[in-house]
Parts: sequence; structure tokens; C-alpha cells
Amino acid sequence: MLSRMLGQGMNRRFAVVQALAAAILLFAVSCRHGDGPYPSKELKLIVQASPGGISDTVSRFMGSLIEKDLGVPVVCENKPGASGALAFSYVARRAPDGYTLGHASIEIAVVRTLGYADVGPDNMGLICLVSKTPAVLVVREEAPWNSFEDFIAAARKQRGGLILAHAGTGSIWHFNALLMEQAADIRVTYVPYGGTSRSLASLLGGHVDAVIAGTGEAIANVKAGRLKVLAVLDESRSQLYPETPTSHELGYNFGAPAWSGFFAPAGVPDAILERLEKAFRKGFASSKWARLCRERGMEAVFMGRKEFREFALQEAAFFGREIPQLLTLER
Amino acid sequence: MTADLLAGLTAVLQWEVLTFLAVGVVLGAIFGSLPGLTATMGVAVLTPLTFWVSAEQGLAMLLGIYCGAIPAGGIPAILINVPGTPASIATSWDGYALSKKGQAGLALGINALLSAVGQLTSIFFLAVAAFPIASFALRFGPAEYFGLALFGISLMAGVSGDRVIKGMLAGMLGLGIATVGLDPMTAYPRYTFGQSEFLDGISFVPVMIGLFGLAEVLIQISDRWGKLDQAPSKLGRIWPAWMEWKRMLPSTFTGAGIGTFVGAVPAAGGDIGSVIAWEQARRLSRNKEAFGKGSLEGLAASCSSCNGAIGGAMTTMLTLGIPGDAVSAVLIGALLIHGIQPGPLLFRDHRDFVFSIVFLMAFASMVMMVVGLLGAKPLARALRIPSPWLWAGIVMFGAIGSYALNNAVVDVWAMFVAGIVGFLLRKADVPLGPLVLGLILGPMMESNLRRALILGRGDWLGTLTSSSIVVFFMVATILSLLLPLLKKRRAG
Amino acid sequence: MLGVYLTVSAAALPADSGGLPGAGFFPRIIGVVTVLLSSALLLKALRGSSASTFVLSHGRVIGGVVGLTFVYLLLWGTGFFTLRTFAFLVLFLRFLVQSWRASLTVAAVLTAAIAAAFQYGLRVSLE
Repeated sequence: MLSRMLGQGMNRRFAVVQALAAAILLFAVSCRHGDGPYPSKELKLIVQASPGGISDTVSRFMGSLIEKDLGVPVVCENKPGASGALAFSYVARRAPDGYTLGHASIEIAVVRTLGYADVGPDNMGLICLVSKTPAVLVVREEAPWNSFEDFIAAARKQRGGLILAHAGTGSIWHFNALLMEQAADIRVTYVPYGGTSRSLASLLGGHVDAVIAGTGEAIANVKAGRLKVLAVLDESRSQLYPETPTSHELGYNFGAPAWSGFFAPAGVPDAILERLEKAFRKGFASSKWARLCRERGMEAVFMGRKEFREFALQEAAFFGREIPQLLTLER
Repeated sequence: MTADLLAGLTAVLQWEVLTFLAVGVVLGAIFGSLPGLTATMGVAVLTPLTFWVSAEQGLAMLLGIYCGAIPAGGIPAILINVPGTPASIATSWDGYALSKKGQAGLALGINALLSAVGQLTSIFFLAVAAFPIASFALRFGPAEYFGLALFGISLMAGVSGDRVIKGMLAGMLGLGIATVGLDPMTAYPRYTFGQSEFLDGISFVPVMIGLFGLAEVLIQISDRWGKLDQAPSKLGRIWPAWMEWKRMLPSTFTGAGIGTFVGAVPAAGGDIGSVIAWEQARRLSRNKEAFGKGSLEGLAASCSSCNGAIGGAMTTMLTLGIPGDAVSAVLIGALLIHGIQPGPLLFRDHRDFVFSIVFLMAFASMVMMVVGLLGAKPLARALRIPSPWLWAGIVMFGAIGSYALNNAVVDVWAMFVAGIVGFLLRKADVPLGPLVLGLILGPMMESNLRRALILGRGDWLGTLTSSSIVVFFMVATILSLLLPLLKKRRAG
Repeated sequence: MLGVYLTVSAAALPADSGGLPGAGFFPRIIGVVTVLLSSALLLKALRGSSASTFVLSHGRVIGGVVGLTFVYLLLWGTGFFTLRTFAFLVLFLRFLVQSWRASLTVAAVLTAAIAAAFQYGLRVSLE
């Protein structure tokens, strides 16, 4: 058809344009195909945070690892907003065909309680959990407190006298701080910042007394001897701070680590979930993943879909119960 | 020291690294000059690609994008009054005016040259005074941030020209839009109308694309419809004359200095820095009247400051591991993936690597200068295409770029509404500069005032005089509000 | 224009305020300042020192462009992105009295550029 147009002596450039237009048309049509044994076309992985952060890194890294096993490309797409609620409900609304996945941060267990969106682990097809990041309580190196007990004693002496910064109201590090208040029966004054790096900057600058942050976020300045870690708020010791005691060891049974996992919309056939879990398990076992976890201060922990589901439901129940109570505590 | 310097240089002087650098600069120039694409996006999207190459090669590309995108953002600002990145908003004020006078070539030349001067100055500061700058930046607590933001807001009157009340109203509109979303302190939803899309507020970049992209298209249609066949504007010479160099020198270094320091302060970047630098250059200049109407000094200040912010942001990022702006936040992620932990130890244990970064940035800014100078002519000539084609392109890239930012349709609508509002405001002779200032500085001012008051336990007076920096900003704010009034009285 | 400002600022006064400035503190200040400024502008206008110079020329063309863009954005996410964009651009350019040939060429080139940059370069999924 095109050659006939050319043959009719039409303007050459016009023909090129028409060819281009036709190509675009053809392409547009050809985009809607793709059936066969799963997976037969590219997977989309929706990340609930902006590029460059830990959720984004985990997703892109895992995406590139499972690509090899699945044999199809995995494309990450960032949909930040409302603590991740936008991305979670977006994925939950997609067709349950296993071609749209989401990164499941701890917020999947929180956003419903916060009232941002009606999604939670119960209406998702959870695949697996790949890492945990506990919180740490950090202070400046020259601070007068050398242990968690010192800090608690000081906070008890002057209720509300110590100032603690965190990544933002409603963030997981904020909840860790509230849990600490509850467990140790202390009161501190909160200064919320927009993100952990800003709260650490204000600690380094001497504007606040302490910060609760993720293990990896504080490591650079801890190693450089500018900050010290008083406690890891978790059950077991962190690989990054093997010398530092945990809150549980010290007799305070609290600590809510952040975690990273993956999910699909509810209703994805179990066979597909199993296939995905297998791919993620393979990626998890690679040395590259272990290295990334070490460098970013995450603990490599794997949970399969059943275990993860149970765990996530437990977390959702925990936060659903605790958050309203904790937030009244702050007032 | 010398050994580290040499080691840093040799690590960079390899043809693979330099190729990656050049590719990065060109990609950055594309990202920067298209209004829908920003430097942050460019670095974020290309970060995964650098997983598979060496740290130097990957970093060469990413730094190339960073150093290429910011100067390139000035190109559309000058040629079509549409800033390519938020940092080049101030560049459009004088750049486009020059362009309309038939001196587009000169404006592009100055943009290329003085962007490089701004970058090199700030990189020099990074190399010799990283720690003093960083520790100064750390002294910025909530009260100091509030001071900086308040000072920035007080410039609203200055950037409004002779329409002060309208400008202030636009500023209030900007501040108002900035309050949409979760309250930064207590996470209490404000003006979200129950929509979770609005919880994080209205994104700044789509609004900017609307205000300056779509609105500009509508303005041009309104002003030039039926007169489209006018002769295309002249390009003129590119290289500034000796006298012009001399005239621009003071404002260039004012700009580079202010840019470096504002860039170094976490969460304040080239967008804020260039507006402040432009206004300061105006105050210090002997030809205040020319600013905003095609002043070379104004252009020099804005070009050098938004680029100076690059070195400043990198300083805080490398010395403290804390990002100085959005791009360096993404760069931290990239460095970590390559097993490099930015922070104080980097300067002790990997000094050669720090020098590598310094050299990479210096080379990138020089490559970009050459690209900018060589590209000036063809780019200006490309604008001779019929205006409707250009308009179609701006609308299209604006819409898709707004979407691509967060993959959110609500951002596209924000762009659309901002475009119509921006058009109506400009038709009513309301300046948009203050609106942008309000949008950028509103959240910074509010959240830091409230943080400062928590720290000061509600004591307003104590909080606002808590350090010399705060007092400095307070005095500067009062002066910047009073001086014009006093002067007017004396004149009148 | 002033009326709009006034209503906006009046509506800007809800939300709470504790001992320290609360969520409503800032919107309230902005509202008050806006009211003050608008009354100043109103006064000035009444005194006739600065007559409102709101002239909308070529309103029909602008309305057309805005309307066309509005329809395009309404159809966002309905599938056939490339086709839709191409059609929009052709209409947009035709509306601004470009020849058919120019419209088709530019629309095709732009669509291709957009698809190349965003769909393949940035891997943004547009549909």
C-alpha cells in the first residue's frame, strides 16, 4: 500500500509521514496481546515511595533479580503519596493476573488505621517478605547518656524535657518512639521532620537530643564517631551494631521494625503466587541481595506467602489496636 | 594530599569514564531543556543503569546529568519563557526579556558561560572548604530555617516589580496552595476534600509546568494570534563583550556564593537560591530598574546561583551523608549501591574518591559549557518553526511530564488548572514570581516555625532571637520590607 | 476577581489550634493577610488609581485550545495512548490553522518522540 502511494508520485516526505503514522497505529494495536504460560509479558512492579529511597532500591534490585528467573522484564513504577496508600489501593484494584505487583512496606499494615485508604493485608495477595529494618535510638557522641538506661532515667527525671526527632507524624519511627514512651513510662517532646535524613541533620546540628531512625540510616555518622547508638529497638541484635544491646535484652518489650515485601492483587491464582514466591526466593538467596542488605543496614529475612500473610495480619492487628491508643498518649 | 589528588584525577582520566560523563551531560541537557523532565527524574531513572558499571563510570554519568540539566533548564527559560527545571525560574525573568529584544544569543551565551562559572566556583568551595560549609549548614535548626524562609517570603515585594499588592496577593495564593495536604506536624488533613490524592499536597513541579508552560502557550496565543508571520527574533552575538563581563562580575559571584550556601542547607536548593540571589543582585546593582527587563546582571546572578547550588548540595551530601536537594538525595542511593557511604568518613578514608567527584563535576560543567555555546545557534534557529508546533510540543510534554513525575493523573490536572489560573493571573497583570516563592517557601516556613516553637516551648521572642543566624535573617527581613518604603518616601 | 479572593480567604479559617500553633494557625494568617491585601486592592481600584486592565483577546481560540486539552485529559487512561495522542495533536494543530500535511507530520513526529522518551526511555506506562 505504501509503495503504491510512492509510486503514484506523491510527495516523498508526506509518504514518510504516513508510514510513521501507520507504524504508530500498528504499534498501538500490537500492544494489546500476550497470552500463554505465565509469565508471557513484562511485569509491572509498583513502588509506594519516590525514586532513590530504600523501598525503591529494594524493588528495583529485587526486580532485576527475579527478571532472570522469570525470563520477562520487570518494570518498576513509582506511585508515591499518602504513606503508600495510593500505590497499595492502585495495585489492589488491578486485574488479578499476576502482571501487576506491588512493593509491600510496613505501611500496608498501617494505612487503614490511619484512614488513608481501605486496604490492608487481608485484601492483598501477599507473596513474600524479604527484609526487616529495626529502629535505633541515636544521640550525639558528646551527649551525657552512655546507655539506654541513662537516657530513660534522664527522661523520667524531666517529663517532656528531652526532645526527640523522627521522620514524621504517622511514620513507623514515630510509632517506635511512642512504643518506647509506653514501655518505659516516660514522656519526651516530639519534633517531626519530613524524612529521617532531615531529623538526623538536626541531631548533628545539636537542635534536638535524640532521633529514632532505621539502623542503616544512622551508620555513616555512627562509624565516624559523631553519633552513638543507645539501643536497637528489636528482639535480636543487629548485624550493623553487634555491640549494642536490644530493647528486649534491656527488659523493655517493644520495637516495631520496618519491613519490605511484595504483593499482588487479591484473587491471583495460588499457582502464580507460588511461581512468584519461587522467583523471589531465588533472588533472595543470591549474594548480591546479601550484599545490598549489608550495605543498607537491612536484615535479610525471608518469609513465604503463607508465613508472610500470617505475619502481616498480625502486624495489622497490632497497629490497629495500638495506634489509636498511642496517639492519645502523645496529647 | 597531592597523592590523593593525583589518584583521584587518574581514576577519572580514562576514556570510558569520560565517555560516560559526556553521555551524561548530553542526556542531562535533554532532561533539563524539556519542560516536562527534571534533573531529579533524569538521575533517578538512570541510576539503575549504573548498577552494572564501575562506581566512577556510573557516577560520571549521573553527575554529568546533574551538571548538564541545570544549565540546560535555562535554555527554554530564555528562548520561550518556559523554565526547564524549577531552578531556572529566575533565569526566565531576564533571559526571556533579552530574547525578546533580539539578544537571545547573548542570553544563551551568558547562561552557558556563567552556569559553568557558578558550578566551578561551588565545586572549588567543595574541594577546599567542604567541612566549614557543612558545619555552617548544620547550624540551621528549625528557627534558622524559618528565618531563611521568612526572608525569602519578604522578597515577594521585590520580585513583584511595581505591582506590589497584586504580587503579595499572588504570594498568598501560593502559600495557600502549599497548605493543602497533611499538616506537616500533626498529620491533620487540610483542604484535602477527603481525597487521598491530596494528602501529600499539590506537587510543585506540575504546578510550575502549568504556570509557566501551559499558561505561556495561552498568553502567546492571546498576544500573537493573527500576527504569527512576524519575522523571527534575531539571535545576535553569543559572546559577551568585555564591558559586559565587567558589569556582570559582581552579581556573578554574589550569585555563586549565595547559591553555594543555600544549596548546602538541606532541603533548600537552586530554586530558592536563585530567587534570593537575583533579588540581592538587584539590591546591590546600580541599575535596579533594568532587573526583570533584560538585565545582564540579573541573568548572571540567576545562572550562577542555580548552578552554585549544585556544589553546595553535593558538599552537604558528601560530608554528612545528608542530601542538600532532591537530586543529591537520589545520588546518595546510587552511591550506596556502589558500596560508597557518603559521610564524614568518606573524606578521611577515601579522599581520592572525593577528588574524583570534584574532577568529574568540574569536567562535566566544562563539557556542558561547550555544549551550551555550540548549541546556542542551532537551538535558537530551531525556534523559527511555526509557533503552533512549539505550542503543541509544550502542552504535550507538559502533560506527560507531569504524569511521569509520580505516575499520578491528579498531577496532570494540577498542571492544567495551574495553567489556566496562571494565564488569567498574567492577563490581570499579576506577577507569578511571588506565587512560586509562596509555593516553595510556604511549607518550609510553616513547619520550621512550629518546630522552632516546640523547641522553644512556645516562647516566640526567645525562639526568634535564639541564634545569631536567626537574628541576622530577622533583621534582613525587616530591612527588606522597610527599605523600599523609606526610599519611596525620600523620593516622593 | 476580588470577590473570589475574599471568599477563599473566608473559607480558610477552619481547623484547630492547641497551646502551640496548630494545623489551622497558618491558613488563618494567610486568610487574614489575603483579606487585608484584597481590601487594599479594592480601595485602590475604587479610587480609580489603577483601573483593572483585564482584556481577553482571541478568547475563542484560547477557549478552543483549553477545551481540546480538557477533553484529552478526560480521556487519560482509557487505552490506545499513542492513537489518542496522535489524534489530539492533529486536531490541536488543525485548530491552530496549520495545513493537513503539517499537522499530520508534526503530530506524528511528536507522538513518536513522546513514545520514545517516556514509554521506552523512562518506562512510564501510558495507556
